[in-house]
Amino acid sequence: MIVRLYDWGLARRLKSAAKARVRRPGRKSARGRWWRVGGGGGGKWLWLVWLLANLARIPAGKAGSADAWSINLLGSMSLAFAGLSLSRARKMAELLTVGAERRVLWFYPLSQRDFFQWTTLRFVAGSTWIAFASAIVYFVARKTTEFNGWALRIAAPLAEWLVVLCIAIALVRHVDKVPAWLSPGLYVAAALMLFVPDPYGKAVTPLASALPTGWIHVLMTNTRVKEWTGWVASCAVLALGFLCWQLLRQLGTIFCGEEAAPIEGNARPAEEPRDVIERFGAAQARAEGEEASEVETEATGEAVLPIQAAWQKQRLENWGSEVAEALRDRQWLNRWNWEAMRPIERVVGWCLNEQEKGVAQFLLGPTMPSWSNRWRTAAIATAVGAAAVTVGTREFNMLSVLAFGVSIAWAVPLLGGAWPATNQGRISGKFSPIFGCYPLSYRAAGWIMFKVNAIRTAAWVPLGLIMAALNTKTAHTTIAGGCWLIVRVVLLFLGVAPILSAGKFSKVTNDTLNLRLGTIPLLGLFTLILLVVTTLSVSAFMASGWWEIILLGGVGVVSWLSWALYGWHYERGQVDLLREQA
Amino acid sequence: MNIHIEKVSKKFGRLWALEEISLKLETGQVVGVLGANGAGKTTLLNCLAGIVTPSQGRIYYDGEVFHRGKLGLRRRLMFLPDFPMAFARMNVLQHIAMCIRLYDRAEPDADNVARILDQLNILALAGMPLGMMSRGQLYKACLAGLLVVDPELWILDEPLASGMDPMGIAYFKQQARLATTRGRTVVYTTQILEIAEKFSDRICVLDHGGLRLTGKAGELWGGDGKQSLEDVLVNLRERDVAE
Repeated sequence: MIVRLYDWGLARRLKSAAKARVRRPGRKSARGRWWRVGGGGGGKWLWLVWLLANLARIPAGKAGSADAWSINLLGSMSLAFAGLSLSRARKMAELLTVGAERRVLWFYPLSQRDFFQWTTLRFVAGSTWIAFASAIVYFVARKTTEFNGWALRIAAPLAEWLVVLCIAIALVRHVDKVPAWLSPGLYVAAALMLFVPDPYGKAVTPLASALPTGWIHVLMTNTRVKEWTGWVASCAVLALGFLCWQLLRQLGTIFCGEEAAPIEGNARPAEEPRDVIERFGAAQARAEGEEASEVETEATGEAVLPIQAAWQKQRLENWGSEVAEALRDRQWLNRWNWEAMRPIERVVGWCLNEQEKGVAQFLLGPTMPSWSNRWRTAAIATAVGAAAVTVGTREFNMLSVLAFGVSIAWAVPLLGGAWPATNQGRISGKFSPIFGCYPLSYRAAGWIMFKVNAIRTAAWVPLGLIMAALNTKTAHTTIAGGCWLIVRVVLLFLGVAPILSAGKFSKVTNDTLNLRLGTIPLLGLFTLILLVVTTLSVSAFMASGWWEIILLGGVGVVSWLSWALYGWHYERGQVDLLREQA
Repeated sequence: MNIHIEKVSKKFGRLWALEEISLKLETGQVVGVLGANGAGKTTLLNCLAGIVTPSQGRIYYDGEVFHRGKLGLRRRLMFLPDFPMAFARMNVLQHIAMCIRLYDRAEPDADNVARILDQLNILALAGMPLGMMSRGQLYKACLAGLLVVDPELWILDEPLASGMDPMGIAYFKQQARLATTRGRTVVYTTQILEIAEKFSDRICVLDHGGLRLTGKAGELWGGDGKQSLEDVLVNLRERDVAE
């Protein structure tokens, strides 16, 4: 086959062939992932078990007359352990693939099998605390569960632990499909179930008991099998132990690159070579015209490398020419157009001069800020919180607290905001900030951080005022009083903002680690400043009249002075931009 | 840029990484800093770049005391550590643009940038995020930033062991040599003595934090062709052991 460079027809056909390959089920997602080697469907039957088990529970009836708090506690444990199972699965996948040990041990003659056994042993041993934790929970809720002692103390906690292990091991190969928010979401739901009033607990109980981690306590609280719970729990331990061992064995087989044992009923009959050829032939016959010949050469393994090489070269040439064009149009040199951004970013743009915009662009790294988007999320959260207060008892409830917490965390730069240039990288085995290697002025950067934080905080004020207005009943105050409280909080935050921006620089230095005669008095001074700021802040909320303003002003003055003092210390090079630890 | 290092010492905990180093480097030189592992080469470069602060002593650039707050002086130098600092999600062109902005340089000629990238063989990768590059490619990308900015003082930590391919190293040496003719000073560390011998105008040998030898490349070993730089370093170590 003749391969010509710059043959657009060839390029088009190759693209089509590549797309056809990608469209084959699982090919794209399977690339480079060891857990696909043995087939991705190994754990599907677990869902069937889950469904059947929940169906079987329907005729089992209600949980009896259990104490509501205990039910909430057990439900909370179920949710928390479900979240834990997901995070343990993620942890296990990380340990097996990209963990620090894995990366180091690639360079040593250690077999996959040995590594897998060592890792899983540590993983299993490291999760035994789950059994102890569930034992404590069952002990606390013993009046509700009402089953005999030895099952209470041994079988149920063991079964709970094994359930978590089984879920974690079964999900190791599927962690990429599990949404990242699910695990924290389950933790939050668990916490809410423990602390919120009953309506929420009652609403969530079916979910909590439907989860596999809730089955054990459902069994324990079920009055119909009361006399048999111990035995059932013991059998469950045996069954779960066997299941856990099987799952580990299956995972090990796939991880170690051995041929996975075919699952019964799902096994594919062995194909004769002739069948394979026919199958390939049929597949190629389906392909269109010229494409078919390309796929054929690819499938038979002939001429693939030259084609790939030609394709790669052509791609690089095109890429190169595209880059040359991009270089010439000089758009890459353009600064961010703050005017074209969303409202908060635009206002920030108005408040920065050209020099500051350049520094801000460096501080913010490669991605444009999304402060307005964050504000929008905060506004939605505030609306949800407001609805929860308005529809409910007109007092703050857990949902509104959570919503307002989200609103504050999203819109207000509580810890000084995210500034990627202050992140750390490695220099000769130690950690140093990214800005360390570039000429960045402490004062200019600090001033920019303050301006941005002030604008973002000011943008949040209307949301804060809505919260304050809704908080009047809970706080036993007037709307004006609530709003004044928010204004004071905002002023206090702006007062301490300079310290927060100094902290952005301090976090990447060795100022608190490099203890020597020169730095000890300085640390003492900063401790003193912290005490003064705290005292002034507390006093500002206890005082009345003009003293409130004076004390808040005092916070600002002390904060700016300490910022300037740290700047002097930093710029005179009294600290190193190098840390032993991240 | 004239560099005057005056009795610079640096202490990390109980360890003196540098001990009373005094050195004057004239403008328009390629200065190779050599020494065993842990001799203090990188610490010296970190001091020159303002990453770390000397525990004692001072550094003068063109007669002006240098410290981190002197932004004007910092804009006249650029430091490339062994693992260059850059934003992983930035691409090469964005990185170069960032350097130009931070160093307050005029917009460069696009053809010049293209030529530098092409010579470093990363033109095709100009749109690739730096975090996806190999170590050598990353070093080249940051070196491209340095070449476009063209500061008066180049400070490079182990550029010859940075993962760059031979063409990249050759291009770096060529550009560094050209830069000295424009009055730039290039300070770099290396362990590759053969290159240091031929490439450097001046060599500084550090050992246990102290400056043991310094001088023009030929002068250090008499220039009679009987000794190499390797012999000089080995003799130095043997003398230390004997003492």
